[in-house]
Formats: sequence, structure tokens, C-alpha cells
Amino acid sequence: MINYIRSEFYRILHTKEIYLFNLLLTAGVLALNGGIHAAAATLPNIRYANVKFVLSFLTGSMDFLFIAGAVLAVLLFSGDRKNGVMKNAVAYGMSRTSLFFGKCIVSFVMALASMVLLTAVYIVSAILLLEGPAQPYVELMLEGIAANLPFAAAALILAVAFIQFFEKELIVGLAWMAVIYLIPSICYSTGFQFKTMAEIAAWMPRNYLMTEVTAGMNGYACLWSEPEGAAKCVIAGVVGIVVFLSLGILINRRKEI
Amino acid sequence: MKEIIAEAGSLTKRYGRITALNNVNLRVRRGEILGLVGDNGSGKSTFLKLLAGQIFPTEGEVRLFGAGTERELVRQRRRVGTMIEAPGFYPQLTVERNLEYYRIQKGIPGKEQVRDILRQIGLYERRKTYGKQLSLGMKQRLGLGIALMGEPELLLLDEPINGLDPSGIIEMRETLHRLNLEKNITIILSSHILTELEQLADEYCFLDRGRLLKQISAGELAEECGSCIEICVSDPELFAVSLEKQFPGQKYQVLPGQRLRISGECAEPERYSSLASQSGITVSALSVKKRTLEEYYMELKKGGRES
Repeated sequence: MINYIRSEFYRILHTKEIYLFNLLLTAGVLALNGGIHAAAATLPNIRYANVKFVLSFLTGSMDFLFIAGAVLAVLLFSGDRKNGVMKNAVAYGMSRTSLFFGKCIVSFVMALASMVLLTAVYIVSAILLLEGPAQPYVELMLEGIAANLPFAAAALILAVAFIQFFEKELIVGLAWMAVIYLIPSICYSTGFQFKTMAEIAAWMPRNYLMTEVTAGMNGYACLWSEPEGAAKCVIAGVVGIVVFLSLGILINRRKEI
Repeated sequence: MKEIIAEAGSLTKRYGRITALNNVNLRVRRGEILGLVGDNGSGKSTFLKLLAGQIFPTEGEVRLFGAGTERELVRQRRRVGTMIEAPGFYPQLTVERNLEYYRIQKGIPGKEQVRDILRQIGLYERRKTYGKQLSLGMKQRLGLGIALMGEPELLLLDEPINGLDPSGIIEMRETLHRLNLEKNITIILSSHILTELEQLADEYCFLDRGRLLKQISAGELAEECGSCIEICVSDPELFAVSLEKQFPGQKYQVLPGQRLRISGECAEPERYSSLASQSGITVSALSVKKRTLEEYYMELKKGGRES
């Protein structure tokens, strides 16, 4: 598996997908901060040209980490079946499980590196271009990233499991959305009728991020500010990793290529 | 006796109600070049995919280098090179980088093997070309190069000469021959071009609609395909009776158009014509023929379907 991971890093660093992904997101972040900066220059009374407002985008939508990780995994591995490289890996003595683990590790490392880069660009450009204090907003955002990182890894693992299982990217996307968003929202709605379901739904990231996190000009109220809230995010993430890893192994163990 | 390195025991593969491979038993010995002969849908690719672990048998088992359990098979497949259906590579990587990718994946030290293989497959001058820019024939060559990475002991090649131009076919044939002779690499290959297989294989497997019709060595095949006599007579049934009396054990086949094909060890052609005249049968034509692999396969297929 180590050799497979090494070969994947070689391949990824010699193709343009990862660079395009980072370039596009960096450009997006800079356009956001630069746009608000430019707007503030022309409209002096604008109340949104500050670090607090800009950082609230990510702090209030931590599920962006889940989506970005999944998109990156799709970008890196979705062509493997079509190009016939997955069948080669299997034919050359890689078990499907090792292949799955290898892809998870490679995707996670690449996603982590991209996240570090983009977060740095996001914070630095916000501080340089916009007004207002950086603290405690930077700290809240970084705490949020740390607390939600385990579930971001879980969401990425789920994407890899589906990429290896399904042939079409569209199906991968739909299946992923169903598990990460649709099922939790059904559980959440059912929770109004059944108390047990409400308790289960409260542990699902889509639900707790929607109901227990707010960030904006009116203030920040973040679940992870309290140790219990941070623990909830981490526990949900770890459970997600275990569940999605098991799912990935199970569905791909005897998958015909 | 040479070591058996690939073996199929009662191997069956079904896709729903379709049986792609039906109770196939065969053995491949080290150093052999086994040609898989069959029409589309005869089970050639299915058989190769089962050996390569890309699909799983519904019934029966595959053994590679003596290993039969799933875990052992995965390990033994590191000794196998494959090119099944379309060659697998990254179109956005150059030829050289594709080979480098597989070199790293197979844990082969040093970069010399990449250059050696580039020369072997005749793509050294094209090493900086992206995979997506290659012609069909060059893609086949790259596929072979990837299969050769790591000096495999067994090569599984599905239609390796597909898309190659005449000189490419000759080069591919020579490369496979050389690998077999110099490195004792066992090769299992399928091809629609039977004349090409004839020049490569020393063992044949004839498949039809998922069934193995026959496994036969090149020597035995030559014997079976060897000279036969076709005789056109006025009364084929009576001639057959006379033939059985005069030449007990002689193989023959009654063909349409009052013809008989006499195969196996044949006597002088004149002896058959004199036998006919002794029996009061008129001979309108007599010719000595040699069956091609294609003819042999078609007859085998017909026989298999009738039975």
C-alpha cells in the first residue's frame, strides 16, 4: 500500500487537477476579500468590510470542509475506472481494501494540504484587506476547523468509497449528498415526532451545524466554543470515520471492476 | 514436467441469467504461450479477468503459482502482468510518467527499467507524448509496457494486437516471442486474428459460448490439422463402409456435396481412388488439403454445438 500511495502522490503532483483546485479556491477567497475591500473603498459606510463578517462565511458553514474534501477526492480519483488504472492496480496484486485505504490516505493528505493553504490565504487576506479586530473570530474559525476536521475526513472517506463503487461521478455525488444531507434532514424532521430520533439526529453534523452554530454580523455562537460542543463534533467525526470506513470496505470488498 | 502456474478448476462465471464461462478446467504450464481462441462472447476476456482478479468466479476456483485462497491470490498477482480489454493508463500523464507511476507502484528500484521498457515497446522517442495523444497502436504498446513492468512471470494479454499496424503486429509478435524465449515468461493471450495466434502459441484453448471445447498443444493441433484428403464420390455412404473395412481406424467425416474428408494418418491418395473404383464408386474429385486454425475452430465449434 505504501508504494501505491507513493505512486499516487507522484501522479497527482504531475497532473494539473490539484493545482487547478487550489488555484480556483484561492482565487475565490481572494475575490471575496478583494471584492469586499473594493466595495468598502467605493461605499464608505458599508458595515460588512471587516474580518468578523468575512470569516463568518466559513465559521457559519463548516460543512464547506466536507464538500471541498469530497470534491477533491472526486477530482483525484473519479477517472480511475474509466482509464482502466483501477483494474490494473487489482490485477497487479493490490487488494480492493488496500486500494480503498490508499485512496483515503492520499485524498486526506492532499485535502489537508489544500485546507492549510486556503485557510492561510483566507485569514491573511482578510486581515490585510479588511478592517476590524481579527480575534476572537480567527480563533473561533480555527477551533471550528479543528473540531470538524474528523467529520470532514469521514465525508472524504465516504466520497472515496463511492468513487470506488460507482462508475459515474453523478451517482457518486447524489449518493454522497443523500448520506451527508438527505438522511440527516429526514432524521431531523422525523425527530419532531419521535424523541429518540431527535436525539440521534442531534448527533448528525448537518443538523448540529444548522441548529447550534450561527456566525455573522450579529455575533458568533459556535458549538465548539464549549468543551462539550467540541467533543460532540469530534465524537461525531470519529464515529463517521469508523462507519464510512466500514461501509467502504464492505461495498468494495468484492466489487467487480 | 513443467510447473503449472495458472489453473482453472470448474470455473464458472454468471452474470444474472447469462453464463459467460461454464465449468472450464484448464492448466497452463511455465514457459507456455497459450492462445485463447473464440468468438466475441465466447468467454476469453471473462477467463482472463478471472485470472487477473478483476471479477470473481460464481463457481469453481482459480489458482496462480499454486495459490488458491483470495489472500494468496492477491499476493501472487504481483508476479503477473496484464493488459485486458483497453490498456489502462492516465491520459493526462506522458508515456514516461505513466511507466514511472507503475514503477513506483510496483516498488521497482531505479529508473532504468522505465527506459528499458520504453525501448522494448518502441516508444522511447514518444516518451514525452501524453497518453491521450497516442494512436490506438501506441496505446496498445504502452499497455504492454505497463504489463511488462516488474518483469512478470505470467502475462495476460487480451487482444494485444488490436489496432496495431502490420509492422506493429510483427514487432509485438517478436517482442512476445523474445520474452517467452529469453525470460521464460508464460503468456496467455487471446486474439481474433487466428493466423497471428498460429505464429505465437504453443498451446490452444478453444472456447465457444463460455464452454471450453478443447485444450490442445500446437504439436497435436498440427497433427489434427495436418494433411487431409477430400474426396468427392458418387455414393459417400458406400465409400464410407468400404473405407472402414479397408482402413480400420481411419478418421473420416462426411461433408455436404457428396464429399468425404479423410484425416489423421492418410495413405497415398491413389489408394483411396482405387478403393472407390473397386467398390464401383465414381470419384469426381480428389484433393489433398491442410486445415487452417480457423477451419479447425469452426469445425470444433460446429461439433460442440451439435453435441
